[in-house]
Amino acid sequence: MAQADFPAKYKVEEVKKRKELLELPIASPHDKPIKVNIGPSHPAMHGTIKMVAELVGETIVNIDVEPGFLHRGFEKMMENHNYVTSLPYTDRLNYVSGFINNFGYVGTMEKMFGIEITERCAWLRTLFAELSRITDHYTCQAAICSELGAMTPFLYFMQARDYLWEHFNWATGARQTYSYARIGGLARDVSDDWLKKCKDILLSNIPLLKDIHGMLDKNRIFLDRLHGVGVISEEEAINAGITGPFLRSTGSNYDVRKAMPYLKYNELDWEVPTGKYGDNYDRYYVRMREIEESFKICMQCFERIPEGPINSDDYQAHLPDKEEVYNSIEGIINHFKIIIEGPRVPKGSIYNAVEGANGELGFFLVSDGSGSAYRLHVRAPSFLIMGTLDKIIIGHQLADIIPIFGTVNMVGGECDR
Amino acid sequence: MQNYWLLKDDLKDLFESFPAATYEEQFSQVSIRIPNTELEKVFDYLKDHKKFPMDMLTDVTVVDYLTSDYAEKPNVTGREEDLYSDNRFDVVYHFYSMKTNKRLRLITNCGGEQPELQSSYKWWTAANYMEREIFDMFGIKFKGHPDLRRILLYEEFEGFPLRKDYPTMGEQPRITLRNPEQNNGTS
Repeated sequence: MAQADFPAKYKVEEVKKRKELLELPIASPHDKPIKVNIGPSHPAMHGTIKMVAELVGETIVNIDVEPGFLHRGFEKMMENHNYVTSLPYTDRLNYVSGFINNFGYVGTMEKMFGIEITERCAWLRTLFAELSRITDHYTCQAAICSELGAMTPFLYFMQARDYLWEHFNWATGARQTYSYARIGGLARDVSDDWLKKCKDILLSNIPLLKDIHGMLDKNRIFLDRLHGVGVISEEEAINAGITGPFLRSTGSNYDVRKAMPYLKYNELDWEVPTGKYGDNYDRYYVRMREIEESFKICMQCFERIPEGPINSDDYQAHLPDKEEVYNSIEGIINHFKIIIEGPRVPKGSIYNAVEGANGELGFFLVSDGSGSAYRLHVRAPSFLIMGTLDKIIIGHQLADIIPIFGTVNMVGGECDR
Repeated sequence: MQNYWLLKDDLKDLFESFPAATYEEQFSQVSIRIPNTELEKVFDYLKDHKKFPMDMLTDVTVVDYLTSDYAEKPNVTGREEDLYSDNRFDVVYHFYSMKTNKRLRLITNCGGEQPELQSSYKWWTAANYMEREIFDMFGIKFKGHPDLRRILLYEEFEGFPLRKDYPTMGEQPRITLRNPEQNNGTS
């Protein structure tokens, strides 16, 4: 199934009519717009963001979206730390899918060094990236549900997500901020038991997802809040630089994993789910379908992960094994150099994109040949989505902000950097 | 391996239309460098390119070359010649052509005492937040941007933090309470 089905009548025309009404002149002094502050910390908001809405009645005539409450100078920090010690900062970009950020970041340096990662490492990275995408979509969907008052699916999603997070804890030592990638490899290997248990967890999630589909897909209350609300056309979305599930909900099939395959995505059998109308419901449904596709990819990964080393033997960037560090002078020098000075990435600039959970996550790195980045810019998908949010919201009612903001999914750590 | 970047052969007509453009290839990725006076024409040209219409502006960012080997006088901070050099900033645009799956990097120079550049908002609305971020972090003004103000930092912030001459341990002055009456209770 490439496109989501629509069980109820579609309401785009109504929304358009509403937008036309806005252009009528304001008749009475009572219709003067009033300003309402929403956020930055609000129980119904999806992240730390502030919106200043101007209302006529309950209709939003103007809105100012203000991100930046989680700004911590990520790009400046990267210029002052070496490549190895700045890895943990990348976890905190999109903190619900930390693996993807990790792999995107180290992949940038690997491309510059020309390091080929081992087969097992590439397969494991693909698996972890997809698991992480699943948890990210779970979190997003759960938040939508809870914001709309649907507590049961929220708890189901959280349950499914926490099984996976606890399982990541086993592999990496952390539930959320993993720092699992290394330039040219991974921090540590996973056991066969881990993979087997992981498969069991994914299989146990399937009935939960079925229940959630049953509860939400044709739920009248849910549909009323999502159908025909927050519509954007494909052309507008592309022009606004929107990527990820949001863009795919409008009908485009752009996915970095297909457009410029990295890791093992071109060897796997999966498809890109697309929507039709670009409204809230499509965004919800595309995410649900993407979870299924990620399941498919994970299942194939379990079959195909080969035995072998996880780290490449290229020691210009990767730390040598502990055995060598303690037993040979070359090893200890190598270790010291990489930790203190950082790996000397070749001079030049590179742009490396991976498919994050919210869209194209790009790293633009300028290296001057030293151990720390001269400039590292992160192309954050949420940030561009926030740039268009005002256009989507204007013309809707105040209460529609919540589902719209929920389904576009903004992650503060990534948006504000 | 398939190449996802427009190579020199694909770009012949660009070099014919813009003789000032220079070509550079690094890590099999392509950069086109163009003087900022021609920026408007290049945007027009790229947006309506016959073969590779660049319909998505993926990324806009800036690199400050004040302290690097690339600068006219490397590793010298605070010298006026460097601070106000015309080539201090590189503004980097990444374009993506959805139909043909090709990418292009466009670099232009910027600098002077009041760095200013043509905004690309007219062509791509994606530039809205990204150019605001550049204004916030580097203090480069964009002509024709509809709403140029600080975005990630607060309005009273002094200086531009991602410039190389901004101190890492710099301190900001305390700000006074804003008057809620004045801005209608918005901030």
